[in-house]
Amino acid sequence: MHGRIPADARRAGFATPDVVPELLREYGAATRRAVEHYLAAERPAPYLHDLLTDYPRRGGKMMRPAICIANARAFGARLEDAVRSAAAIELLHNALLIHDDIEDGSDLRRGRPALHKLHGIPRAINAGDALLLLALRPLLDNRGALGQPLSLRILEQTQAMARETAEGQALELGWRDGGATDVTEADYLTMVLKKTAWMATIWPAQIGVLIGGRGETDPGRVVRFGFFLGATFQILDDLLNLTADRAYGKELNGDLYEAKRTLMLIHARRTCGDGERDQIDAFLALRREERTPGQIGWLAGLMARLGSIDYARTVAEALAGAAEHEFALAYGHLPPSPDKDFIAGLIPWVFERI
Amino acid sequence: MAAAFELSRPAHQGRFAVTVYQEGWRLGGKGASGRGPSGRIEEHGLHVWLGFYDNAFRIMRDCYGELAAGGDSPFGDWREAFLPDLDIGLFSPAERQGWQKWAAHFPPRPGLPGDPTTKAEMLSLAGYIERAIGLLRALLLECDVTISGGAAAPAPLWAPGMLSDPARLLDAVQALLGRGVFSGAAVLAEALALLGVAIRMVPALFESAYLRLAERVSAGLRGWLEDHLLADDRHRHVWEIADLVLAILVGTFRFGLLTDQRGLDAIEDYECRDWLRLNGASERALQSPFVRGLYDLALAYEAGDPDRPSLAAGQALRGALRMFFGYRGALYWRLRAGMGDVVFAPLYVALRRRGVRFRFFHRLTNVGLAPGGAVAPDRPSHVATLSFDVQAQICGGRDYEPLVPVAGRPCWPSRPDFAQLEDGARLAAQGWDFESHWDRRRAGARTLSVTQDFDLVVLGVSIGAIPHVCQEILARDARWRRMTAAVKTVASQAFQVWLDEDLAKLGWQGPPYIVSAFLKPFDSWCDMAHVIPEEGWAARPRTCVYFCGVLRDEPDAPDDGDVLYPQRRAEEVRRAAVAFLADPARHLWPGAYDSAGGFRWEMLADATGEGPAGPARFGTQYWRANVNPSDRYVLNPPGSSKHRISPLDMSYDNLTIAGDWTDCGFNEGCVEAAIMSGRLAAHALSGLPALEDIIGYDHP
Amino acid sequence: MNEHERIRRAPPGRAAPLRNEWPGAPADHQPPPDAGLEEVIAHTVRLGYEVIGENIRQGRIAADRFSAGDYGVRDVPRDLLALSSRMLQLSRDISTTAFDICGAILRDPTLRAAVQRYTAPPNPAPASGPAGGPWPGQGAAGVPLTYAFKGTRRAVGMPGWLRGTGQPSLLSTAGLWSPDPALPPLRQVALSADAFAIIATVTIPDDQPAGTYSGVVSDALTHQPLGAMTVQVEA
Repeated sequence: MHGRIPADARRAGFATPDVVPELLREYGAATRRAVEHYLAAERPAPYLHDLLTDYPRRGGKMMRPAICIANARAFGARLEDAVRSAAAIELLHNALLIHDDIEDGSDLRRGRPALHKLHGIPRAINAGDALLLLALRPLLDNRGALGQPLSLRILEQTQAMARETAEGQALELGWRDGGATDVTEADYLTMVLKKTAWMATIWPAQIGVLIGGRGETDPGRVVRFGFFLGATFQILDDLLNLTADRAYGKELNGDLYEAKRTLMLIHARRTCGDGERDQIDAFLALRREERTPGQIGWLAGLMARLGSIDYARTVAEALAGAAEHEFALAYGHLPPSPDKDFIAGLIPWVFERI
Repeated sequence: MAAAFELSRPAHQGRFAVTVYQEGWRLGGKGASGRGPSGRIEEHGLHVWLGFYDNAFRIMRDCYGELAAGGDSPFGDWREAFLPDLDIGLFSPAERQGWQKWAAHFPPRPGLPGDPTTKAEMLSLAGYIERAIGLLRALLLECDVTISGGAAAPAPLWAPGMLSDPARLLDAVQALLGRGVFSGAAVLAEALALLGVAIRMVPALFESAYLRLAERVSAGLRGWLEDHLLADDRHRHVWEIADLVLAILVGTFRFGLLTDQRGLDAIEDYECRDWLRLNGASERALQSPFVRGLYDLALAYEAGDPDRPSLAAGQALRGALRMFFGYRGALYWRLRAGMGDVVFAPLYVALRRRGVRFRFFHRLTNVGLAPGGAVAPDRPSHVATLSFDVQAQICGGRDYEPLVPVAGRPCWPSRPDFAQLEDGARLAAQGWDFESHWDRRRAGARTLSVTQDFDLVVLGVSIGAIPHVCQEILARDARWRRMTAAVKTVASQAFQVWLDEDLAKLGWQGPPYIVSAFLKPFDSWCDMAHVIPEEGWAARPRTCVYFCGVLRDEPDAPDDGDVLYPQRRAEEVRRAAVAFLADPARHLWPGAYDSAGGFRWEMLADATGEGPAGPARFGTQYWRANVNPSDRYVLNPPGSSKHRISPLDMSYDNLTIAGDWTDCGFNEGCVEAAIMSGRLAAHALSGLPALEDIIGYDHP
Repeated sequence: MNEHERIRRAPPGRAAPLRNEWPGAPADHQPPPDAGLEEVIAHTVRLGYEVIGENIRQGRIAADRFSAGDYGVRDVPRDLLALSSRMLQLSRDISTTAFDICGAILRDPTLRAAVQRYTAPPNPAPASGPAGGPWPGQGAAGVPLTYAFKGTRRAVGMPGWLRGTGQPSLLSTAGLWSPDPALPPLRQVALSADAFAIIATVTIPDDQPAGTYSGVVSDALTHQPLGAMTVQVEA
């Protein structure tokens, strides 16, 4: 299923299977219990403990840890084998959220003030670092149940992911701080791959594959699927930030204030007239605090008028198609199972939020 | 043949009815081979397939696979036909006196040539340079160099955080160089590692910084290497290679190659040695056997004159990078028999089975255009007629059957089967040579017309023949005129000897068994013992060896009417071969000479058993002068690439071209270029294969 | 010959190789502004495959590099538990992300061995929870205490545990004393915390006599003793 599916047909005839919200709930709960165990075991260090435990306790969709557990089970392991790694994934995710919110200047996270808004930036950074280190611990604890070699492989995979994530962050920040105007689709996809897909969809799947296959199965087999899923996820996330007509936990149009180089912005800048392009470039050259709601409104309107929104949606659907194709290649050989359906079902699921 | 193979693929569902028109009795052009007395293989010259010939191997694997799937194939599996080999050698005069043998063993690499590859898996230029640096480090660390100063091992020079900041990188290397005396190859290796990593990180912004870094490292390294390695002849090759790699490194940055849209084409106007010299390579390295071998294997001597080496820097670098860092499986692969038997016979059989028609003994004489004036891409024309000499008619109007069985496999013979030709006995008696440019005798003529007899044309003659068969095009198309002037060719000479003693007894300890940079005119040679079982000897010789090299042009080009020209040149080759064996070959095979210092001619294996003694015995062996215009080997002199025309060119809307003389993305005289061009020709006519599937086409 | 019937070649999509592709380089590598839906989809998918293909290739090269490894750690840590502070220090040095610690662990055999010893609990896990359960017993033994040393003298710290107090607390100590009253105490002891343990940083004067020194760590507010430190200064 790889090709041209109009947006409304997708919504109509291609719904998310029920197994997705069910397993998200079940695996999410198991992960939360494990995360809580590690948080509770922490010494209540002053100025640190409350910050460290804040984001993980705010809840979330638990997509990332669920991907890990589902992959592990689909490939033959038990939930108990994977739940520690799932906890590490969730802790790491939250640690990066703390830093992301600082970088993006966000006010809200999951409906409440962002951590640095509550406690100031220095302590929030410190908490993010500490949470990163804390995330290591369940991965080290893997040694007992999974054995040394497999635990080390999981650590290796984690390191590779961390490097990619750092590079992706650097890319995006470089564009923002450098006022880059010539970012292309290829650049965007590369950045999304590194910054988002690796951490959100590729790495959790790889960990799951490693655990499920007891180190025998090559984690490389899920990289392409993870990429296309993660890229679709991020593009839809970008769209949501522009188009949602209700708050969803972050502020609307925050990306525009940040002049985040999204597909919509890239498309708009490429298709607009010369005068409009100069205006966009001028906007990109401003600092965040200099950007006015009037300019934001103009830019959002321009994107709508030029069809950038539809364009991004089409791209997301194209990548979703590629994800389906890759799913078949990577998972096709597995016997049917709820977990296999869950993984496949994530593709329509990421569209649900729009 | 590659174009025919692609156009007749089942995926096209018979859309193209393909007919191949071939002069003489065998397919293959410069790659054709034959069978002579005792079924011995008789080739044009030395043919090895390099491990990066992905398109060539892809087609052969498909072909062999198709034949095997169709039932009992006499050709076997492709892996029996192509034999991997990992060692190459250079054997040349040593610095002071005597001779030096340098052998390189290249470790096997994962995969096999022709494996499916995505473009993203091909190396970028930065990736190649990184590999080259890795090679250099490995070479350095192999050297036994004592530590001077005896200080404790130095602390690591660099921390990961440094890697995105070239200024700090520079400082690190500065500190390194500032230490004065290097404390060992390990430290140098570390500096190179820095550079290697830096290249991988390359954001384009930092290129000038890397240039400074490269130049500084290069200067420091040169000095150090001079002091430590030159004195020891054993390591001389390390120094020479290091010197060349450094020059390539500096040149890459100085010429902005990493970010130039044209990739290595940006330096194709420079002569290879000149470009390296510009970037600091020393004369000693430039005249080293390494560089000489590079030129020898490419036959890169204008007009065959060894004093006129001529090789474009861009393609030379591209070829070297792919050869050394892009091979899969083994560095090179030997063919189990002649190239005709291993490549063109299976292709012929497979194509026949697919319904492709063959018309042998058809020699193209003219490509006729539609009436009109000057032709250019914006003023296209088309081919209206194709004229052929029908060199011979086949008895009964049947199809000519070209293959003969030898040692259980279908092979091409060295002479046509006159029995299948009308009036064959007379043609044989009169010695008709259907492959000689100078023998124009024919049985008839034929002209094909567009739309009636053909729709589309793939012109596969080599560029040497273009001035003879494309006179209309040359008269009207300035680009074709420039191309034929710029893309030069060179004649080659070759001989093969079958010996009753093997090389080890003669005094050559291998591996390696393929060697270059030896004395002219036969500077390249290869031991071919593995083909003897494929021949039909009653009493098998122990080995056979092929020699080849360039053949110098005579000052004046031969007349078209000079029918004895090929024989005269062949006789010249025979004399040169005899003289070669009589004397210079003693440096290769000391054991082949008797106590008086004379070559032991009796070692030459003679099937008839009654050959003469002494040098005349060489007459029982095989030699040839490849002087036919279309047999001339294609060169890439500096500045010539831009005049080549691509098979994708649209100046003629029903014509495409194929051959290693076209602009095929890998502009060098070799099988891979020929096959890439054939695939491009197929793409030009049919849209398949996709350009992205032509491995190495999109490549720096 | 009827011109209308004569078959002509279709022009190819492009007529030259793409030699050097850099992200953000050729503008003609993007779909034209009026590209139809099909083209956008095809172009996007192809772009996606190129991007991920390149990434996979880079990953392979990086993996080769990391397995070669040249993280130059040469000194042998004498106190296993001091490694936790060392890991933290590493994370501060490394500017990208703190997860380069993973790399340090993986590449350095001594660090790796020490980490393995670190994760084994010092006491057998209490028999709560199923055997081989998801996580080892934790918290029952307390908070680990580790040591760092300043000065030129060699010293070894005895691994210990501090009792947890259940709420944030400031720690204090009066220093480390030898049972032999003639020997001067080690007064410069700083206590700090990281995510893993309490770190006692002991500054040893050059002329400190060899011997065993110990002291108590207390809660600064309640003065309750939480545990003991012991240090052995070598000759």
